[in-house]
Amino acid sequence: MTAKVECNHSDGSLKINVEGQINEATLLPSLDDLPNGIASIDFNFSDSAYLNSEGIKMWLLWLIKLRKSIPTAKIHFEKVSVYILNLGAVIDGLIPSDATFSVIRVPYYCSTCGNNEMADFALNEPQADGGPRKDGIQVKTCSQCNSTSDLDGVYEKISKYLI
Amino acid sequence: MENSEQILEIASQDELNTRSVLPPLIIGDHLSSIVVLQLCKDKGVRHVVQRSNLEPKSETNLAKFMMDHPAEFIKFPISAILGVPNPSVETELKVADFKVQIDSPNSKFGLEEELKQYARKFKNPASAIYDISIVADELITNAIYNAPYVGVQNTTSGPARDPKNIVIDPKKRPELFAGSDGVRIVVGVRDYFGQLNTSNLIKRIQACYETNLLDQISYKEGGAGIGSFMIFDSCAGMYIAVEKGRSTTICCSFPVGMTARKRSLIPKNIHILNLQEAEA
Repeated sequence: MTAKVECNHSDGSLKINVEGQINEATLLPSLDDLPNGIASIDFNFSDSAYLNSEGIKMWLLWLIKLRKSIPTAKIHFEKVSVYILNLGAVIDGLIPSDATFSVIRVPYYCSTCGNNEMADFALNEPQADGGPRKDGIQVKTCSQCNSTSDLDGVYEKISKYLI
Repeated sequence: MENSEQILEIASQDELNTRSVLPPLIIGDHLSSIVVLQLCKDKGVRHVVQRSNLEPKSETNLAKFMMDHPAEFIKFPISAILGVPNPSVETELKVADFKVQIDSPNSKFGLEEELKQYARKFKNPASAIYDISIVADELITNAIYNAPYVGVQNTTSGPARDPKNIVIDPKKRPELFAGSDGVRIVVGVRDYFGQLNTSNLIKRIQACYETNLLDQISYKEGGAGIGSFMIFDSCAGMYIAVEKGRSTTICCSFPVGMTARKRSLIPKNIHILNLQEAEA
């Protein structure tokens, strides 16, 4: 699904929601008519959000323009999946280096029954269910069969965001 | 050619340094992606099979099959990769049970969704579905935007990626196909131009590994320049077959039911085949 990228601004905050794939058919929002006084930019990526190579190029150019338009605004990711973070780990600038994060969406896979689930990691807060952790990652129980689900990501790539 | 002249099996990477000339097939293990690409670029190696990759015996047999029967591989890639004996029209129809034609640039997005549904049948983790989708996307992009336009030397990166400006020749519609043996899922795309310069492709991917990826992105009209790297980096094995002036087929293999972490530990295989038109 080609991405829907929406910009809404209110009370000095610019909210940018991304849903679906950013690709050559995506129209990224115009940044020409942004109001003055925006102090923060809050990104919210849905689970389905990802970028192909053309989307990466478009996104980087768009971010540069966004930064030029609002150079002092703080950048925050309300919600982002590990897929975006993985890309950010190998492409400088895809995720601004000074960005902060609230929630990282992490996939889990149950090899017993094949069930896929996404879990939220709320950073700087205790995990809601206070469950056990392995290498910093919370151990999850499969909601379908009660077996232990495995983190479906490369821990080393996302650990810097989890600490 | 005798097998001993075609194959070198090594216990460690150091053995590669003692030889100035290497055969087309190297069987080894724990060779990094950069080393695999260097072997192809600098030493003329056409096949690298790693023991910790999926089904190493089948992959070794595949390499021999590609050397001995290149035209058959091009006709029946999924059967050949999955190790079906005597690949044929019948085996390919049976094994490549996902096959679609791409008739417009915008249709690729719907076809990717269909492919994801197919891949989900094999109880794959979400990250594997993501990788399969990325690979299919980039392979289709190459077939639509590069194959018809890049010329023999592949010195340009094709036209602007604007779906509105691209028309696909109905006689040369690219194909997206996939098949699985329950252990591996193989996804491929074939175009009917056969213009891919495999040396340039390997150099391009290698540059992305050896430098900051950001520096490899092209902001000019045409492709971003990192799509082929994304393909190779996302899969366990890459199979490249060019029939000069007639077709280019690229397939990628993925393990079934393996998390991202386990997949990241699999050293990569590569297979490259160049068939001149007269040999076809």
